[in-house]
Amino acid sequence: MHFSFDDGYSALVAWLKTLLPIAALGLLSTIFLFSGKVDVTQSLPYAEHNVAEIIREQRITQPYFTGIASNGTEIALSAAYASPQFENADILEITDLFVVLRSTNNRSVQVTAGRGALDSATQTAQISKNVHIAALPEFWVTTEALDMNLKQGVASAIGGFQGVTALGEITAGEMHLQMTADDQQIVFINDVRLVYSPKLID
Amino acid sequence: LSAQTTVSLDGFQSDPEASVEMLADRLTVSQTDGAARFEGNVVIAQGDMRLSADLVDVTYLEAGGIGRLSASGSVLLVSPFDTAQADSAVYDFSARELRMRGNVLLNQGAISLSADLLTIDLETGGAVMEGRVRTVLPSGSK
Repeated sequence: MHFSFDDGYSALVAWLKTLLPIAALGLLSTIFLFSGKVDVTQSLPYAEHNVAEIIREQRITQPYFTGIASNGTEIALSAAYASPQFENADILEITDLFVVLRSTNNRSVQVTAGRGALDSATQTAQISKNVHIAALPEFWVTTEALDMNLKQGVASAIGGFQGVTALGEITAGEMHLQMTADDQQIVFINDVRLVYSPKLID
Repeated sequence: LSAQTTVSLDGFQSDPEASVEMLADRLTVSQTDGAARFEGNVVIAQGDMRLSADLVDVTYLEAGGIGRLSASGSVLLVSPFDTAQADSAVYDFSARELRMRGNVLLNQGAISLSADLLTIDLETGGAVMEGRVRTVLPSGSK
C-alpha cells in the first residue's frame, strides 16, 4: 500500500491509524506488569477457629421448633444455637431462645431466655438466665428459672418463684403460666408478696 | 345526725410515693381482660396503713402502673389511730382517695360511727361519712 498523500491531514490520519492500535496493544500487554500484587491466599475470608469449632460441636444454628400442645396452644421455639448434650442426646442445649405460645384465640405470650435445656423425649424445657415473659402490654415477668412443658403448653416455676413484674418485685411459692382456649393466665400462689412503688411509674 | 358527717382521721394520710406491699395467697393476671386479682388473706400495706380483704382487683393506668385497687369481702382498714370496716373499698391511687362502702363501721378510739359510705381523702386525712350515719356507743358503757 503506497503512502503518498497530497495533504498533511490524510497523512496524519494514516499514521494515527497505525500508531494508535499499536500503542493500545502495548498498553494492554504491559498493564498486568504494573498492577498491585494481590496475595490470593491471604484475602480469602474464612476463620480457622470457626471451622474447628463447628466440626467439634455439631452445633445447629438458628434452630426452629414448632408444635401444637394438648390444649391447642401453638408453640414456636427458636434459638441462636442448639447442640446435643454430650451425655444424653435427647437433650439439646439451646442458647438465646425465643418462645411464642399462641393460644387458639390468637393471643400470644412471648418467653425469652438466655439458656435452656430442651428434652425432646419428654417435650419439656428448663430455661434460665434472665427469663422474660411478656403476657400483655401492662404485665411482664422476669425471673431466673422456668420449666416449660411443650406438650401441655404450660410453663411453671414450682420451687419458689422470685421475679420482677410490671407492677414491681414479686415473690411466691409457685408461678404458673396457663394457656387456655379463652384466656392466658399467669398465676402466682403460696405467700404471694408483691412490692409496688408508685413513684417508679409516674 | 346529719346525713353527712365530716370526720378527721389523722391516721389515714398516705404518702403517695410510699411503696405498696401486697400480700395474698394467690395472684392471677389474666390476659383477656388484663385484670390482676389478689385472692385469699389479701393485705395491702402502705406506710402505716393496712387494708385487708378477701379479694382485691387491680386496675391499670393507661400509662402503666396501678390506677385503682378494688377490695371486697370483709374489708378492714387499719391505721395507728382508727380502724374502719366495710363490705367493699376502692383505693384510687390517682385521686388519692379511699372509698369504703356497705355497712361501714368507723372506730376512732372509743367512738364508733356507722354509715353506708366512707370517703377518705388520703392527702388531708379528712373523711366524709354518708348515708344513715349513726354513732354507735360501745355496748355496756355507762
